[in-house]
Amino acid sequence: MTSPTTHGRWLAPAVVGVGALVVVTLVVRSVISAAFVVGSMDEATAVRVSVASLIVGAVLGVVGGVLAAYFAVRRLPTPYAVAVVVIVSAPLTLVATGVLYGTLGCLGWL
Amino acid sequence: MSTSEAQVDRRRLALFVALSLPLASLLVVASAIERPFVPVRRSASNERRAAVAIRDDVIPFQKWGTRLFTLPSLESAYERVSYFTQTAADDRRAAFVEAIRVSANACDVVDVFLLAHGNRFVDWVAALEPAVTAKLRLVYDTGCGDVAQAERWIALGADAYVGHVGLSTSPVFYVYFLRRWVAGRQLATAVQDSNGAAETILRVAAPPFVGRDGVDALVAGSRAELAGRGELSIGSR
Repeated sequence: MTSPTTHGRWLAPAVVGVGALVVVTLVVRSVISAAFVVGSMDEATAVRVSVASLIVGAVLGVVGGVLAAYFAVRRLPTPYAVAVVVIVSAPLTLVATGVLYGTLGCLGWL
Repeated sequence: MSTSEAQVDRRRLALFVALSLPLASLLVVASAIERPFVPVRRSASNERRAAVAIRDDVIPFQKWGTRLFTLPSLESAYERVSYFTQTAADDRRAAFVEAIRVSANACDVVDVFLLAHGNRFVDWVAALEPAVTAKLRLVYDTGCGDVAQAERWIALGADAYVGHVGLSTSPVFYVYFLRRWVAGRQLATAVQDSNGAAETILRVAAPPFVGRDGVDALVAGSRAELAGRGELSIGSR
């Protein structure tokens, strides 16, 4: 029922989406904090880098969640599709939307 | 139902789920955390207003986050914005005080945002000439318990002062407050609405960290109080 190819269809965007959010929330934050501590990055640059990374990461998170849901519902047997949407896609899309919404709100765009 | 019809139905369902996910997420985020505001732009009036903000020496991530949130909002609503971040080596006193003086000379009103833990910036500003401090309009202070400084700020010349009652999670209030203030809400309304929104969030998010019993104390301590002219808005004098 679910071949490796079928799995790949929904798994790949989900992995990219989750990965983008993890990079945003952990790696970028750590790099910026470390750069501040050693004085190699000024505040204005840090703001620009972090805003850009937040937006890119969040957009990828939303896209990843949506694509994962699309391929899961289209390709997997219903119980598996529901599980993928509920466990992977919906939380990923929700968190990524929150990050994107918060970032745009911080910039005064929302 | 034929196999091809089932495939079409499946595609439609997949499309529906995929489109519904971000919409549902947006509804949840916007209704649970904060609704969108219409972006504001500086008025074309002759009035010139300035904002001076200072962040204390905290961890880099907090400095970065405060600046990320504060600066774009202030720049969208004020003709002149000065933003300072303290470091262990430089408390930025000279630059901060000079910025208030220059802003007062250049603009009709100056709003001050003290984004710091319990602080004594009032002592720095008290050294300025009365003609300068008379231009102070709103002073907002995130410091824990700094509502006690209200009388002194008003006596210095500020039209209004907003400070927190006790041990405070001021950033939660501040996020709601700044957005409403720069969007043109009356000061009293902005404070009241922001207190309400902050309390809602704290009652949902804080219990795992402070326990059910600690939430009431946290909400009470985080409450912001207004002294002075509550009818002020960002476009008024």
